[in-house]
Amino acid sequence: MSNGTPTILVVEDDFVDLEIIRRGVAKRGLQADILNATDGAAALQLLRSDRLTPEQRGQLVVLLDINMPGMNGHQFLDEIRADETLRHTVIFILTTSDHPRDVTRAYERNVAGFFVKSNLGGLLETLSSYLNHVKFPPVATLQTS
Amino acid sequence: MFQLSLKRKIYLGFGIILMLVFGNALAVYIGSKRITNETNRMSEIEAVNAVVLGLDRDVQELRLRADRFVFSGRQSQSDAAKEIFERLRTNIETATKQQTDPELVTLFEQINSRVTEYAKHFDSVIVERKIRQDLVEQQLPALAKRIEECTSRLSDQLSGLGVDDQNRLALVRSQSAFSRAEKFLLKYFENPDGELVAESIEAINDAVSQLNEIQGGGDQVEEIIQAIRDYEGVGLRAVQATRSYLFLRNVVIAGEESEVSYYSAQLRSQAEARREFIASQLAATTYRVRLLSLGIVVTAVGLSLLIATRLALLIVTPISDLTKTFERLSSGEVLADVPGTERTDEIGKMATAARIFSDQNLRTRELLQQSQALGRELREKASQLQATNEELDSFAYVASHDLRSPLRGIKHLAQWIEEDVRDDLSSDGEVYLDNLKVRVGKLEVLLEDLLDFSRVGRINPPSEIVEVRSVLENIVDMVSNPQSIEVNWPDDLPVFETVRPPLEQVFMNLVGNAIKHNDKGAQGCVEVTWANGDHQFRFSVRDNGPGIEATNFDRIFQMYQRVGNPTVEGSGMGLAIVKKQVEYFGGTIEVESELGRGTTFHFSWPRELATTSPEVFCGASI
Repeated sequence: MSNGTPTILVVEDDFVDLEIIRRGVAKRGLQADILNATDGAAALQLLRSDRLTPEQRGQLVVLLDINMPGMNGHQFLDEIRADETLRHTVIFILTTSDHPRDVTRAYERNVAGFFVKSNLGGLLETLSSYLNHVKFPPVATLQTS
Repeated sequence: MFQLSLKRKIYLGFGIILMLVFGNALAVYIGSKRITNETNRMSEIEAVNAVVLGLDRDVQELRLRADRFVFSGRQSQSDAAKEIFERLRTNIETATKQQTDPELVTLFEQINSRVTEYAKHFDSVIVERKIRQDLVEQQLPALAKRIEECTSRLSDQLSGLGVDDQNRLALVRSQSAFSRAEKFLLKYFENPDGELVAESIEAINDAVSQLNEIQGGGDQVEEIIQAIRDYEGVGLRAVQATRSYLFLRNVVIAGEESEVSYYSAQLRSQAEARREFIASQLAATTYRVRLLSLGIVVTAVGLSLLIATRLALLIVTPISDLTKTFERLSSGEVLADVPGTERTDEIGKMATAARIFSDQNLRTRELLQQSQALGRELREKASQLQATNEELDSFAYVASHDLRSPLRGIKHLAQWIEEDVRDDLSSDGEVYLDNLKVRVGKLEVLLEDLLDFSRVGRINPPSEIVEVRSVLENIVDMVSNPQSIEVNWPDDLPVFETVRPPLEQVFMNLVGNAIKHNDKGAQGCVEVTWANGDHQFRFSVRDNGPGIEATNFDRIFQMYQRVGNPTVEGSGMGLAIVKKQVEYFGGTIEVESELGRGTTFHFSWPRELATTSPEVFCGASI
């Protein structure tokens, strides 16, 4: 929809998993910039910094792992949904856990989708379609300085 | 009290009471018998009184009759008197016979003898009375007539002769003296007075002396004197008779009468004395009987009360104590002391039984405590065991699960090396890379199977209606079957409610093994059959493969144990998973096999799932 390239922020501590995603994205020819944060705190720090351009912010999708050292996925969700400027962020869960408790808790924090890592292909397929058609939330004009 | 048995005590008590009652009845019976006797004697005495009364009356009438007879000399009176005698005698005899009292009998006999005497004397009176009557009424008038005739003849004679007046005067005087004598005598007969007899005799003597003065009378005078003397004699005889019967009447009979009266009075007073005596005896007897009976009744009542109280104390109180004891015992109590065990009677025996009961309770309690302790221990052991098992399962799960992630990393890395830099590798490096990939694949299978094994019982999917036929169809579709071995099953396979995935897993492994191990090529054949059990279905999976040696029957169900052709792929976990799954649902699995001919696995599966499904560990930890 938008002209620029969408940005995918992968919050993931495991190098191999990150690499799988990178290679998957590349293999499918998905046009997207990939950023990485190794835990929830790092991701929040990145999102709140000025290292992202407004264009990047305008087409941002977060792929969030749940089990991570440091701030885990659930804690990250709690923080971001409580944040005035970031609460609209589009987030997909990509994790090894398919425990109903995790699924329920994630959807309660309004995630866009819940995928297990073994189904990475499904997620990438979804994303390729999603990114082509979705209307992203408007970027909050806060975060001025 | 002696230590008698309770039964004996009760019998004894009732025996005493019965004896008292019987004694009372006996006393009353004897008393009434005595009273009856006394009453009989009383009425006997009263009968005697009546007899005596009649006797007195008869005697009085007899006297009356006798007096009348003496006065009138009439036979009717004497007959009546005799009749009375007869009656008296009969009455007395009857009374004597009836009488038992010897004194009374003697008195009656006395009266009888008096009355007999009386009768005898009365007979004499009758005789004398008859004689006098005859003399006075027959002989004396006849003699008087003769004297008169003789005198008139003499008078005629004297006048004829012309005898002087002296003689005639004498005759007249004599006549007058005789008639005076006659008059006195008759008076005497009417009123017997000795004076009259004397005057009559004097007049007769006067008459005779006057006659003696007559001269020339001759024989005539002598005849008259003779006649007068005769008259005198007869008259005296009559007087004598009169005196005689009057004596009999006034002295002898009166004596008898007074004797009879005396004896009858004696009888009366005797009877009265007897009556009074008997009456007093009767009163005494009555009093005694009453007293005795009262005494016995009071004693019986007292004794009964005593015995009843004693028995009640002896039986009721200990029994109610025992009842309480038994109630406590039956509620499981253990008693330190059971009352009454020192007794030797039935209650003592019961108390001993209670004592034993109590001991049993104690033993039961101890056993219960022991068994509870054992149960606790067992439960602890069981929960320890379960904890250990869970720990093991958990370990297997965590290990397999957590090992998978780095393994996948290795797999990807190897893949990326192959994709990105394979051309740069030496030939050795390529071999190493291929080996690495194969090993990773094997490790993946191993971990996957271990995860499957540890998942048995962890995940409890919802039950659904399962068609076994469709399960088998699915398996045939999924399983790799390069030799197109036939898999057969009957049309009537059951449809029932159960959990599908575990059953599918079991069939998958068994059918998969059969296909995998087939050594008959296209002739290979797998057959699934089933049968109905009590609460289970019994399924069998038979193949015509190489078979399994009997020594390996145990091993095949163990983890990571593989038998048979080593070229056949497999982790050695399949049958272990099957066994764990089947046993988790309460079934059993057996194998039978013949080398070269084939193998059959039989397993049972519940028709209905247990209502309380085994605890489920859903995703214990990730």
